[in-house]
Amino acid sequence: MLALAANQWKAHLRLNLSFVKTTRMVIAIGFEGSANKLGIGIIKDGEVLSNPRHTYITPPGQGFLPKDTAKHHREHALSVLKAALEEANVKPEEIDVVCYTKGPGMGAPLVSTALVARTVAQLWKKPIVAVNHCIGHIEMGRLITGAQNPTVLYVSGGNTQVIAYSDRCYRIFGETIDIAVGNCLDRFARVLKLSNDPSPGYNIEQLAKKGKQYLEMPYVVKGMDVSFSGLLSYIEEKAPKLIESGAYTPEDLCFSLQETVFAMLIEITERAMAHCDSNEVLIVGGVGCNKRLQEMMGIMASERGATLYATDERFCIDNGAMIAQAGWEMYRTGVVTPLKETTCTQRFRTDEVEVTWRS
Amino acid sequence: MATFKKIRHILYPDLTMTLALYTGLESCKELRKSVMEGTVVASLLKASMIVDPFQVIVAANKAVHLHQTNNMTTKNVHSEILYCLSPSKNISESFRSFGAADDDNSVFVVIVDDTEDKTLQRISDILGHSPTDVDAVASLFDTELIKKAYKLTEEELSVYPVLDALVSRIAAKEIITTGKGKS
Amino acid sequence: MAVLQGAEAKLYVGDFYGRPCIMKERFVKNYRHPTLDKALTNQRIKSEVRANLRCKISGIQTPTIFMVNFETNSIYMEEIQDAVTVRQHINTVQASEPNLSSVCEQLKPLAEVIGQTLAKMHTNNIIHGDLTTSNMLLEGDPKDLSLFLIDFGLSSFEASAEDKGVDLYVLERAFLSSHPNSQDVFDCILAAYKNQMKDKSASKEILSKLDEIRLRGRKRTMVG
Repeated sequence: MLALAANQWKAHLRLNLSFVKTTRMVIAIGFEGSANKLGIGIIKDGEVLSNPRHTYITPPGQGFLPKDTAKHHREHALSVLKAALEEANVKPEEIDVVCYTKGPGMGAPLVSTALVARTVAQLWKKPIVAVNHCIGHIEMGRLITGAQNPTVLYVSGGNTQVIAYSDRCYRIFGETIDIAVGNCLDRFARVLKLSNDPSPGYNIEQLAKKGKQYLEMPYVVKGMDVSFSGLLSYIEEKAPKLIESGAYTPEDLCFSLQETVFAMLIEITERAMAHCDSNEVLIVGGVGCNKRLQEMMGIMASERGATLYATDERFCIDNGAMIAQAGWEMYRTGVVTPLKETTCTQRFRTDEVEVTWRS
Repeated sequence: MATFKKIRHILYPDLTMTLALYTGLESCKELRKSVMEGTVVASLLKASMIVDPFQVIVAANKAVHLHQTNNMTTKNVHSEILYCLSPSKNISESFRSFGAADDDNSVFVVIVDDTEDKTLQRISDILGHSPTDVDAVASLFDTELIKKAYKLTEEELSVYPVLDALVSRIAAKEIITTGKGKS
Repeated sequence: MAVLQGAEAKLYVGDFYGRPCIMKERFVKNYRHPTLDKALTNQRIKSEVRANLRCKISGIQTPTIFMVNFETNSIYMEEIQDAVTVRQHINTVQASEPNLSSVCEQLKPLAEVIGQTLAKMHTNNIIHGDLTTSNMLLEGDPKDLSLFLIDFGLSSFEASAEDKGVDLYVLERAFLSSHPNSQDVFDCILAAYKNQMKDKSASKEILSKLDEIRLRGRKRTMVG
């Protein structure tokens, strides 16, 4: 008797929940600050209402330090938040859920951004959801491109991973065994003293377009994993001499570096696609807006009868909307992070998250 | 004369490779002289270094391909067969170890592109013999000599036949030097 | 007739002067720079042939190579007839046996042979570079455990514990992603590997490198 009543109650609840889902749109706000970009975005059921971002740019030859980056995020948090709300034309009370990046990333910038998210969540009395940064990229990529079940190449300053979904988990099939591809490009940009505005990778891409002469460099693929550290030391050591002697121009070296590292990335992505029998490929992460990488991936995809999905710099580069999108996916399946657990972690693997929103 | 083998090259079907084995000979002296003088164009292999006609086929197949693609190490396709058969990168050493000698009582002959079997006929005339079944070479080889020449290891012979050990080495000669040497 | 198209090569089945043969033809990858493509293709053909032969010399079964054609970037090699990949075999065992511990029990002899084979390979400083259960074949009845290693395109010849550790790490990743719930079987492989290695300090160093490499992945901060 009692059991029956409980079942009836559950059925009633489910009915009510689905009623809520179909009649009222959920609005999510996302806070991202795991590296040198501070982004705050608002999403309403898959529609990006606003997505402003402010980037901490360091002088040529310099990387960004955690302390200074955190300071940048603190200084710009309120103005970016204001812009996000105004652009979206949304009042705080209309927001349903606050999402923030738990990790992975740099400690101090993560914490300073999470602090803002926690503050507004309490101020506005909204539930809060802690999001994995990498999952944010993947879900944003899927939303924007409409890719259903792609093999994902996630490439940025801190990450190089080939990911595919299986059994409620984004599994990492291949990754770098040392440094990330974006880190390799950024550090080479420092050798050439390229500007960090808008990003070192962007400036390498522009120079590479004018490169003609190809220099062979160490190419290291191991199974579905790659390694860039040997290649980086090689080019760091060779570049000044090659440029000085006039044998190669900086343009040639940027071109050669891109051709080499991208070929490695495409190769492991193709391996993973063959392994998983996949016919969709999605590129996400900051390096993912590189046109040459997209072009190479496009050729590979078309040669194996697969479809390439890629986005532009608005969504490839770290942004707040991607955190809102992933948080929204989690929230609609009932995930809420208790305030006590709204911490940050520098290490947070993509495959640690239980993907509750996909079948 | 049904005992020799005439096969088409897998990449160049217009080219044939004739394989013939002669045994019970007085000597190979006269035949060798004819080959050196160029009146007979053929490859004369030492029968005791051959475990199976397939070993020769792999070498001849390779030599013809190298000839067709202008990648030969030696002067002509028939000397190239000898060189391909040998694991050594030294040409004269290869000829010494794998070429028939004057006082040999048997010889394994390969002829590339022998129209109407004219060369084979001439060889039979010079030797005063008809070729025997090529597969009979299996009873003539000298295991110890072969193991030494190809540097075969006991480990490998425990997992696969001598023939496969030889064939792999012949196919991979320019890519690998066996043993601990540089590759 | 192409029977199989992999990520970088097409396989054709045929006959090489009377022996069953597979032709593995590496094709041009148009996404990469022609100079890089040529260099990689050439290097991989050479690596494949070299490691194949080195394995044979060390007493590890590999397909016999009949011919290398650098004009068409193809290798002609023995077709291992009546064979299944280890991947297929494990899947069959897992599908037919619902009980996890008896799956492990059934696969244990195979895991031992794999571990011993890899130890032999590493003792001879051969790094496979792409160890997966698809690159291992079982000839004849899988119960006979007649194991062949194939696909040496990414192989190299290195003495360092780091390279051997990475080789095992690559296998571990491929193994666990292809075969869920197979950590026990993989541990069996490692145990047999350790037992087979005569040089105990070498095996200890390699396995502690493996631990270190695993941690590198887990610990990376991944900024951005």
